[in-house]
Amino acid sequence: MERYLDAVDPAQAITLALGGVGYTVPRARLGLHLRLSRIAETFDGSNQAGEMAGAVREYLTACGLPDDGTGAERLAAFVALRLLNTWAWELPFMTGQTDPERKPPPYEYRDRTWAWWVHTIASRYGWTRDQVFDLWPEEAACYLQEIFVSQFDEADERRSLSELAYKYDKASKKSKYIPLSRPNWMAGKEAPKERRIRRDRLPVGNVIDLDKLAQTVH
Amino acid sequence: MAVKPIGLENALRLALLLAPHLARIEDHWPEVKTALETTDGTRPDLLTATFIGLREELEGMPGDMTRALALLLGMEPADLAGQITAQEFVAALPVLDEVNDLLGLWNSIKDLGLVARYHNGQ
Repeated sequence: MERYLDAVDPAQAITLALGGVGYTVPRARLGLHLRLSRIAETFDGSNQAGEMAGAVREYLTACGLPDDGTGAERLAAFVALRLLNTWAWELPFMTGQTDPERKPPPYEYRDRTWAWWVHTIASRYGWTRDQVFDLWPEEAACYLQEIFVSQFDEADERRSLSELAYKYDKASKKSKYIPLSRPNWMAGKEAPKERRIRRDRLPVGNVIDLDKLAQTVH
Repeated sequence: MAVKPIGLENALRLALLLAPHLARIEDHWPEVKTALETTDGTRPDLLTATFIGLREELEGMPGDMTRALALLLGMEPADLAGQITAQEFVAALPVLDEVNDLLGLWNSIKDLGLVARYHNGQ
């Protein structure tokens, strides 16, 4: 999934069999997605069959499945649903590395990231928390990224009204506008600069371009 | 003896019991695969094949195998020892395999990362 229209596709669902009965389970929306992630964390962090079984039951119930089927069927359903509800699209704003030495601010609390997601989307669009939680997970991320881009453009526009954004060039006797530096994920990758090499220092014979060689499919 | 499929909790007990052995088996997967192919049935008897392929590996684990069988039969391991012979045990394996879909269970255990927890003796 790397398209907005895939992220909002209402057909995101799987069909499972439990106790001989087939069930179609839709992919979790953001709110349920977060809840399922917490349950999955409990399962992954446990080494006790009872606790793990409790987590599997809770997960399947949250997905709307009945307490039915053999152990093998229920575990297979758990695997299939976890796969269905895996985050499927890393957007550019999510790919930046976080500084491991960064100290959390004194007002930090657990799951604050999600509170911030809701806060940002809700305050921008005037939606309620329930409306935000009813978005598909990747859809919410798309809107969040759009908000960042808009916020950045607005900040850049505000800054352009201030003389601080202009640098005076003595040679031309004109002021030049210096835009805000964009975050890496917004700026994109810069094309590598082409370096010119003197002809007498070029290698002799056929030159193999390794970049092109790597793209060859064998 | 009537055999019925094990429930979720016993399936997870079985998973936790067998996961370290499955991690070891993965290192010997070519031998197990050969054993699976030699059964040439429409549905390979996974546990039986595993025993054939990994006889030496599993020799030190009779306790876990007994507990696994007890879980599959819904019995206490101590009761099991006095009630079932080795021949009955071997004969029961394909039935238990079929009823409980052990291959499917194995795949689920792997997909959930339970086997990976025990790789490199963790």
